[in-house]
Amino acid sequence: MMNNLSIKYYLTFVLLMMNIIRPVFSEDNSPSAVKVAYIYNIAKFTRWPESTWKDANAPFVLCSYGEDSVSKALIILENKKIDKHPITVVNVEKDQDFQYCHALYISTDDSRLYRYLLSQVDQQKVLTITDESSFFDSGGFVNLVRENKRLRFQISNQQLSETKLILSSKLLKLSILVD
Amino acid sequence: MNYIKWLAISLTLIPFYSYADNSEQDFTEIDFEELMKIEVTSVSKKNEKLSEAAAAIYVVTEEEIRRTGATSIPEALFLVPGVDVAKIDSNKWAVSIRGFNGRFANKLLVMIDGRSIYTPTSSGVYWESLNYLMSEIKRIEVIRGPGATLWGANAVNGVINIITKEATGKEAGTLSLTMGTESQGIGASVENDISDKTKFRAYANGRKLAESKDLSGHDQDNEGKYVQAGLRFDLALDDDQWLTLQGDIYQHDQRQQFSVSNFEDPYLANIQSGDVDLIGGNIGARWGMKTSIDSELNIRTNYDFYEHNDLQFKETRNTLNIEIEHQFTPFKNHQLIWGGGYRWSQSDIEGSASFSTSSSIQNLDIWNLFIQDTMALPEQNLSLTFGTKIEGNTNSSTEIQPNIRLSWLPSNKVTLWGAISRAVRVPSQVESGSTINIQVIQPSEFDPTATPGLLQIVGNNGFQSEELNAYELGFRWLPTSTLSFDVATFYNVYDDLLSYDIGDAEIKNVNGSTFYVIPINLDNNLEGYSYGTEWLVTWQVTRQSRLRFSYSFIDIKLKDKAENSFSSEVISLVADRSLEHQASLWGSFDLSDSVELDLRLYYASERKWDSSGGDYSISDGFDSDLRIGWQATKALSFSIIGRNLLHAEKQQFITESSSTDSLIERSIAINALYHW
Repeated sequence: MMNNLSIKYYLTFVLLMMNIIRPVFSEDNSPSAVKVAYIYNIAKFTRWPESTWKDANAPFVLCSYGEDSVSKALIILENKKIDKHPITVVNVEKDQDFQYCHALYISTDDSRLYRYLLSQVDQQKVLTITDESSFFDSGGFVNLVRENKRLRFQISNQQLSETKLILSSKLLKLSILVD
Repeated sequence: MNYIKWLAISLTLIPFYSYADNSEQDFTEIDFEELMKIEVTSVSKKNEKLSEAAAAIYVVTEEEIRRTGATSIPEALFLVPGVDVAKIDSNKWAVSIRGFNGRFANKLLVMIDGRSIYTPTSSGVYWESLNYLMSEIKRIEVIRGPGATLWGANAVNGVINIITKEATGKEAGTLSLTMGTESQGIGASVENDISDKTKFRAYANGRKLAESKDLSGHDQDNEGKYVQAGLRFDLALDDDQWLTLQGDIYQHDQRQQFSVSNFEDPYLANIQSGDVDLIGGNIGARWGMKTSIDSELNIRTNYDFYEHNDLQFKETRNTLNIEIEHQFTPFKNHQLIWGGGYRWSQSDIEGSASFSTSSSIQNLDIWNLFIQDTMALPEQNLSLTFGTKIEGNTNSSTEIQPNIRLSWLPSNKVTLWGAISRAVRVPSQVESGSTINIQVIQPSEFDPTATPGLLQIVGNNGFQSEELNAYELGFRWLPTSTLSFDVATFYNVYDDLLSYDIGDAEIKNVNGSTFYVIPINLDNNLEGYSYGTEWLVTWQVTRQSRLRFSYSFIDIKLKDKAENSFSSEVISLVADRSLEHQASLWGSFDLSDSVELDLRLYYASERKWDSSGGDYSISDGFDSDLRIGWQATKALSFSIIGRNLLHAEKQQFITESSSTDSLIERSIAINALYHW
């Protein structure tokens, strides 16, 4: 049997809750658009070894693995420049694709695949950027994270000590260094 | 029913209201986008985007489990589109997909981390044995429709794959306390790394469930205490190899009421209470290796043990399982997956006056081989999947279970898919070799010998597999990044379904007395079809509010090829106890940075069973669940969870034996969760 009194209480309560709902809106930008901007800026403040490009106008190959909004949004970076190198965005599908990467964006929730992808590139020469990865402890150079609703990025101290890339002091200052 | 209208209207009004306020906003919402693009493994055992899968699939995410406030797996499955979940009593559940619901719904395959948990004894699942800590579950993949080609027998009307979290290696833990009117619980989990390459995760969960009420409103004797613990190690053997070692153990002590036949004068059944002990555990190892970015080899093995002791039935079962699976790309645009498995299962059953088996110890061997190819035709935006499984076992003949699936993406916002598949449900041990004395009938006063009658279900060692040929069509549409539609329809043709044939009465001595025994022989004479549809609309209205509407419909038409006086009762038993219509509206709102509100309003149509012992029915109706969560500090959160709020008490399911039918009470619980 229905208990009419408690239903009334419940309804009154529900309606009260509804009235409280006044969503507070901050002026947010789309997170993926922000992330793409982060990736671009991180690359801009990184210097690759002299020998990386034979030609000053040779392309900067930005590899990406994962079919999320960020990897889709990366396409807007196509033909923007890192120094003088125009960016080419490549979605890696085969093991052979990795050899051309200068930077690799990885998005996956599979820790095994994550480790495998990292093992496919020379981490001393390739800037790996992961997206809010919960496996960042097990490898990777730069990890995008959210802190208090803002996007930040972590840099692995261990990778930093081994890398042949030079990260600008500005970049390091903005980053969260992790062990 | 005015209040229902208010509720429905208010629920639908809020989002419009806020939408109108913010029509200029860009609603690109990361959480929602991720939801629509979650990598899933169940359909083809390969990562495939959810919205492009050629099957009716739904993934219950960690976030959804949390926001339902579920404290058990059936609670987490409740209101999943197309899943029929009903609470039978204090601890038992009836869960099915696409009809045929029952305490031992046997056309559904349920797995935890790839380990099948249906029991070959009844072909059903002991849901009451599962006492996982819900925060350990990463996601639950629910496939409506056959999944037999990859997953094997019993994946007839659906597959539920529960996936637990792996150890991340971070030092973390949780402590959860729940106090409620119907349950109390305490659970804890910890995880950390042991070395660079070895991580572990452990949990323990204890729950106390209060008794339910019988149909006249009296407390039943069926309360219980449930304890379960588990441990897993995730080892990174190499950059491309991994190993997971995992185990769980449980002991549940509960009380249960039974309707017990009396084999002596006056031959009247009475209700007795007794202890039910459920003890069990499992241990397993899974090794995997990536041989390239798109190929992988996996080997899994596990050993599972359980003991189920109650007044009528004592069973011990040991199961050993080994599986191998390899997926790779032999040619461009082809993804091939093949594998095989072997399972050995032994049960030792000790019956009672009501239940006996032909032999107490039974061995079951099951082997299988499968192969499936997914061919992409990128020019046409088509993807074609075809494959088959060959499976053999001790109880029935070798079965071939093929399927063919096609998906077409005419644009990146629309997926159309169709599938034709065959699946079988193999005979259970009870069906093939047991005798159940279901009812003693008092002697007729006109019978000078005063011989009582006895209805006896007699197993049939010639019982064959139940068969399904399924035809499915589906459609998904994502008109904007915040709105999605998912529609699936099906037409299922069944043959050789379980039927009861009444034999000739014989005078026999049973349990020390003489009876006119009326045998009810199990056979495969039911055939028929079902058709139905499932709809899901998800709308991320604003960053702070999300609405999910789901509706499902099924109609089951069966007939008995060997019509007898029991036919309509059996058909009603298997077909009418499931929900014909089911609808739900779920609003999730973030009231502030730290306060969440989840409001679920749902409708269930009538359940009934027209049996010779009487017609049972549960009327249709609305009900509602509510959860309010408050993140008090970064580490501490509280929530209040209300279930079945519109009824003080209501029956949810009709069991095969009416003595255990129960009223499920409205429940309110408060949970405190601390994590570090």
